[in-house]
Amino acid sequence: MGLDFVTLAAPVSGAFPGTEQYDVIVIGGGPAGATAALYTARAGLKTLVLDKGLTAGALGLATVIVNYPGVPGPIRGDELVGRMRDQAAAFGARFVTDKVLRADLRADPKQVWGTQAMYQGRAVIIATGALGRTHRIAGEERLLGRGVSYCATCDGAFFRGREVAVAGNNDEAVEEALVLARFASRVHFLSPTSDLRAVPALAGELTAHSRVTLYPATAAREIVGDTQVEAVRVASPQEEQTIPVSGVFIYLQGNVPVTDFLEDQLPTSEGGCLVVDENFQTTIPGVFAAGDVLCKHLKQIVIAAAEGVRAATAADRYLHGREQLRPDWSR
Amino acid sequence: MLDFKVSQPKETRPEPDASQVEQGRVYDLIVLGGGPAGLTAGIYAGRAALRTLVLAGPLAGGQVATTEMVENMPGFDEGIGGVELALRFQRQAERFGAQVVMGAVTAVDFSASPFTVRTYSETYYGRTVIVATGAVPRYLGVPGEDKFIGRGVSTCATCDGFFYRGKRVVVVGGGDSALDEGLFLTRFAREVIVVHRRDQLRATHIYQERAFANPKMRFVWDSVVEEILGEQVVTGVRVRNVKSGQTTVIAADGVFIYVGMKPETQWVAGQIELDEWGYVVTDRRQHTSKPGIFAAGDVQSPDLRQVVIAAASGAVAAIEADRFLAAQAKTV
Repeated sequence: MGLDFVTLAAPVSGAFPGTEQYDVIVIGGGPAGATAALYTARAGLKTLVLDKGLTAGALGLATVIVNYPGVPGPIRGDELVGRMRDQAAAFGARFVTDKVLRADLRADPKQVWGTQAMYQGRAVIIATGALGRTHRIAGEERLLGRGVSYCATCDGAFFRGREVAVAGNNDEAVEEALVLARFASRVHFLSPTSDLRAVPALAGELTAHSRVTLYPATAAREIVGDTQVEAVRVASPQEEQTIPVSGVFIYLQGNVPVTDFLEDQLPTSEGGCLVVDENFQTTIPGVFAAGDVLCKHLKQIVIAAAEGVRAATAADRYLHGREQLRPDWSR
Repeated sequence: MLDFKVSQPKETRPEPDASQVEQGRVYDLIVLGGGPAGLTAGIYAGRAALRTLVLAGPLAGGQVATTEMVENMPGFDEGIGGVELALRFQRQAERFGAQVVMGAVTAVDFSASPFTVRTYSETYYGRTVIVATGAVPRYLGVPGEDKFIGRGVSTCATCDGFFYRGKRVVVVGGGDSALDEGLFLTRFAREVIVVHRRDQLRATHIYQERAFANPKMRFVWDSVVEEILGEQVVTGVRVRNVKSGQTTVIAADGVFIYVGMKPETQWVAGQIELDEWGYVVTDRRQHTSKPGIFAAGDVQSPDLRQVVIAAASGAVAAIEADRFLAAQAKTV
């Protein structure tokens, strides 16, 4: 993600009360991640699922599902995933809403940094999906850590009494904007769509907030500034304008696998997908991946869930030193 | 979507003969088997507007229908009965237009397209076929076994081990799967007793090492289970020592049987490639050795035996069958 750890680490590192230890950390709580957690938890492994929020994934709010076997539907995507999560939680998996910023997968135990804590796991299953972005906004990379941020919880306090912009339209963007509104004198909320893709309660709170200005169907074109963010240039169908801000928080979604927090620890294929072997293990032992973060030909919930089972089973075998064992169902 | 006429644009495909078409028996897809794999294939094929027949076979619902409670099918946060789950798969497939028929296959001919499938009373033709006939675990065939299958007698520790927390279970068998699942059960059960008919295990060395080192595992050698005991619930097994002839009763809350699996491939043997144990060989997209014939579920993947995995492979097979038909339509 190329996050600026100079700004990040300073306020956060001392705040970790103690790291939490797990057998398995699942990153991403969609169908693949929730199902992996169901299987590892049910196999008696202490399991943590880190997820940005129930509607942050590809199944978000608008999706209606009719072809998930056994659930005739139509059922909303977030409801189906909610059931999968409840099921995993019932077997002891712990779900924490947190955004993963960084991970050290070769450490023992493996370490995963979120915005709220550092988590340690003996095995990691990556199920972060494929809503990553392909294109950056002009100026985004250059001004990263100099006013551009992906984490209001981490950096919001730096913008007390200042004006900031938030780009995005989903729950995560709205939640983060509401966090920023506690500090900033004004939050300019730039939604790429004319309506918000967030749960009604959140959307309502944002719309009603006295320090939030909503810009529907507005794209952030360029982040302006020499050494610090000074403004954001935006475009809507009606007009182009430049809004003076000192911070820009970006929560836009795209369609490439979300692997930026891995910082090149794992090889990716063309298209940015993680590469795994037939047991869904990556090139680092004890690190597995499942779901849309892999390149595969069919994006179906039932297929992602089945991959979650395979990754969970492989993680279980890894943790119990059984990975070289293959049962012979045939004999 | 429910109207079969939706698939009419694909009518440029080779037709077998007019009378068969009239009889309405040439399907875009025939699915053999009505378990999670077959019925999910039916859901996906029906939704793709393929004219689909699912021959559900004698055991409707497949293995899952013999399970009292399924807790690990994702999306069913309160668990679901195996029969109920199978019925839902079926209703869903039917709702999307697949025709589900309870019939046992007696013969197939995959040598020419359309492929032929016979039951006792009917002959069906399909432009594609998905083999999803499953695999059946071998059971012991002893008194008391039948009535407890799915509720005290199991062949899947991953599925049912969780129910035996703090309990005592018997594992029957001496191969890799018996020890692998037995070791898995030690996480829940307080004691796992392996009953084996010989005086040494058949399992690979590493399994044996781990099993012998595990303090929760105990072995009863040279013994066969003669009866599974219990009125309402399993209370134990009666075993006979094959050398001494002596019988003893072992108290237990559950019995896990690993004396092998048998893939249901007798009807397709010789027409598509099978592996040395009789399972259908497929590639990652569920294609068999014969173009137009696909396979899904336990009949081709004996390792994990989970409902959601079988269902996923059924979905893939149906999507691939649809692509096969579309490609064929283009070339004709």
